[in-house]
Amino acid sequence: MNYSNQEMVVRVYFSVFIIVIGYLFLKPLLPVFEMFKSFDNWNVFITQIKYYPELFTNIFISLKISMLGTLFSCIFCTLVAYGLVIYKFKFRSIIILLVFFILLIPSSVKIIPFIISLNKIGLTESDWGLWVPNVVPALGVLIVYYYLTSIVNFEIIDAARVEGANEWLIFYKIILPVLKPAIAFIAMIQFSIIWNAYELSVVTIGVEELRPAAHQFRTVALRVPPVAMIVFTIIPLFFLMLCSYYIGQFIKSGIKHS
Amino acid sequence: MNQSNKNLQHKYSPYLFTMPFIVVVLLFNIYPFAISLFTSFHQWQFGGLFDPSTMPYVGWENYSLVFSDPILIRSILSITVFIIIAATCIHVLALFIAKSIMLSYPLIQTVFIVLILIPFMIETDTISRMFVSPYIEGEWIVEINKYLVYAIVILSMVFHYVGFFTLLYFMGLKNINNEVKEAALMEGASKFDVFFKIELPLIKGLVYSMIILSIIFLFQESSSQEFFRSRLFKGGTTNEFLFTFYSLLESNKETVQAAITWVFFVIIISFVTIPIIIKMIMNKFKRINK
Repeated sequence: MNYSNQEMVVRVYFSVFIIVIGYLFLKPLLPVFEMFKSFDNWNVFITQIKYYPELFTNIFISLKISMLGTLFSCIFCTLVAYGLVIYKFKFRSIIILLVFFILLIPSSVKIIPFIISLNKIGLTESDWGLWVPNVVPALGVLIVYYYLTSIVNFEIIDAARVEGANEWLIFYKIILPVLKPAIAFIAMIQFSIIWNAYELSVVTIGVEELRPAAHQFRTVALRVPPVAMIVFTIIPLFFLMLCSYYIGQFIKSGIKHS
Repeated sequence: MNQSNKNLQHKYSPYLFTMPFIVVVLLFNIYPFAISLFTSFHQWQFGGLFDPSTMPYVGWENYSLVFSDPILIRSILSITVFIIIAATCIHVLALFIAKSIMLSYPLIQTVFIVLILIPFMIETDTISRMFVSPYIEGEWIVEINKYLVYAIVILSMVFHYVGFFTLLYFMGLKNINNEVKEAALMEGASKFDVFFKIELPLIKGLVYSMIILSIIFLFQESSSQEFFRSRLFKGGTTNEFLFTFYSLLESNKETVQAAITWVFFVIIISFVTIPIIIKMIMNKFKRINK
């Protein structure tokens, strides 16, 4: 790409500027990474961790629920958003309004009744209760909905219908491949939300071996030195790195303004 | 496949596609929401089984108890100030960074956006703890100014959410037609004018919906931040400046808690509707001026 001299100066100026901002964003996290270097920190970590043998079980539970929750929410968010964008049906506007309404309800409003309803279904005291309520997040549906409305081409879908493709085939062969970047974005958000879900962790508070890391972190981390923070920052970051290629694709596509 | 089968499929497939959302919403959102509304008008001790027949109807008594609590006004004020400051900082910063990314080299854009998404993967409470780490002594936070705690919580929110909103603003800005901007630049407009007079009005719909989303996020955060509770501070005293939702819940009996959550729900709804009302009034003024 050829730039004029003036444009080049502007681009260099803003590139340097965002590199500085990027450094400022990384700076508070640097002490966490520096802890890897010091053996003393690892010694403290190993001696302290002896008092919390259940911590690794909790991390395993957290990983399990985050992975399952992320996988299913990616599947269901795309399905629901596809249904809302492609079809014009009777209750469409009501369902879209419902998506916004669900976003408005603070989780603290419904936490106690939520546990009652989980109890009635029989999901408490099993790790299912920790990820099943998160399988169709309203935020995820909304993001895929916006993304799909800005990229969908109805002519291709109509052509596929004329050629004899059924609805499932259209979703699987035409829509799903173009939704990959949005799915990566949803996966990133969902993983971080489920990994950090402290309020939801009260579901299995009675069963010690089923407590997720988020719960253990809130109750233990201030006592265990910041070394424990490594565990709680590295895994979500690793997941972000996995998604980063598709997030790049997501950025390039743009979304509608209204 | 014959025609009638196809028509049938087309008729029912939207409902089949949206079914998972409806089921999850009914089970985990609408049903708890209804129970919460029911308990706010009844006397109920949490801990026992939920049995509507054993709960006597008390009318608005729970709500009058909430409104007679002096902490209520303080916590509402505290949350309002918190949301206004944090949301303003987040959106101004996010728009500014998004525009800066637009003007930088395309090669570093993706790397930078992934970089500023890192704090979004880390919980705000963890971020607050990182910022507050110099003040931790043993198990407690000591010798810390109350304004500093408030500033640290706001800073951690900005740090956490700014990447997410920058990404969405950047995508909105990227979708604007380049021809419009180039025409303006050729007519002699500066880059500053292009941003404030062309780009910002074009993405105002996106900005508006993002502001509403951030208000919701921040309200959720204000009700889950450990820093708004007393147990982290030495001596266990709640910092008066930090009275929020939790101080109210901790100071009241369980039977009133459903009413408290409903009062706060109404507050968040009003927070969200204020921008809508302002927009409507502005539109009306515009029409009158015309």
